[in-house]
Amino acid sequence: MIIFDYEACIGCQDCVKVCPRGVWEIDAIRKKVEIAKSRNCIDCTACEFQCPVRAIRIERTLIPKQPLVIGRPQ
Amino acid sequence: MNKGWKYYTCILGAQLMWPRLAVRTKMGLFSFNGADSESPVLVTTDFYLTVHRVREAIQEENLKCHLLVVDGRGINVWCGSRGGNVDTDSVLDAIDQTSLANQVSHRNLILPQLIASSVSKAVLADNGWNAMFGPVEIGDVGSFIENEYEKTREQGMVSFNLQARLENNMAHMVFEMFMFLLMTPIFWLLANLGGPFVAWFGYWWSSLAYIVLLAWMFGTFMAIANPIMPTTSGYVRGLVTGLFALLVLKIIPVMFLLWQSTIDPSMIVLDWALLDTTGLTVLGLSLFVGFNWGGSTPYLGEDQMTRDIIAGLGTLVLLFALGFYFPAGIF
Repeated sequence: MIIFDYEACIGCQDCVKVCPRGVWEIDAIRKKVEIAKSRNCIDCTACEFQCPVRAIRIERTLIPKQPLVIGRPQ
Repeated sequence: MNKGWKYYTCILGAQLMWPRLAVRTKMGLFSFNGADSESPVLVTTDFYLTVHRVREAIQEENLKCHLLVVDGRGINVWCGSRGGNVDTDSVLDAIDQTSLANQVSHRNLILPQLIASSVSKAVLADNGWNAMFGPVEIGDVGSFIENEYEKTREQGMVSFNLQARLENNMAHMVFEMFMFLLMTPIFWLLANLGGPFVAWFGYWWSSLAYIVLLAWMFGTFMAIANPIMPTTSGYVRGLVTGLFALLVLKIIPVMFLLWQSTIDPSMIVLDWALLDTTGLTVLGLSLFVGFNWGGSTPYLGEDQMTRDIIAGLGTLVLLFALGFYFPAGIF
């Protein structure tokens, strides 16, 4: 399960560059990343480890859950 | 490059049984094709097969570069990274021990992308090294360097082509064969508990040969049919394969006999009702191969793997119980 702090994201795209499953994509207009394919996530935690502002957290859950995005304007 | 016993030991999946059986190589700095102080530095871990493939790719593409082999306890890059066998300290240790700073004039490191779960770019930057995450496959590293350290989106994604799947399957088959070798004496003892004495040699030979052959068939089927499987879950894959095998084992012979007009159509119903020990073994074995095999594909998350193991073991226990209490069939 991905927990993503949208407000903290600085759009550096480090997560996009290290994700081997294409979960993240850059929103060129807002200059922040978006979760494009959350179902592809395999909990490798590369994005969590590389994020310079700690905006991403990967939690282990036995029951599959939708990603939680914090602070994203509608 | 010549392929010695170490190569084949790795291919046959020795490390699957016990990580200590993984063949390691020496850590250190290796230079290729007359690399000088300006040449780029690639980083990898010390699993023999990993280093072998990296060297092979470097020689194939005739790359002028250095290769820094980091102590990763003999585990491949991705597993080692997620499993905590390699981290930023291992990379910094390797840099110190090889005095890399004196060997090259620049401060760029090309890390494998899949090491990103445990090697921090920021900490390396604090120590004066500008680390970049290269492509997933070593074969793409030439174009990554030519492209001024930029990779395409495809080069950053894991793929799992047929060759890799069949190779993976072979390693798993060797592993499972050893598992079955250990398990058959236990099954033999259990078989003797409830019925007449079964000769050890006959039991061992017939059940082991049968189980190994079936497991090999299931594994190969899953490797080939991978793109058309409905989910990434190894459990579901095992179930699909098992049901398909039951169909082939049960329906086709009956249809053949029906076509030859040697049996009554009601026999089909009877045959399916007798989901006997053979059927249970086929289903159980397929589930075992499924969730075992599924765990080593790059599509399955850790959470999904945990769910698969719980569901798989639960079903296996149920199947064993059914087989134990209803040895002649369910109905």
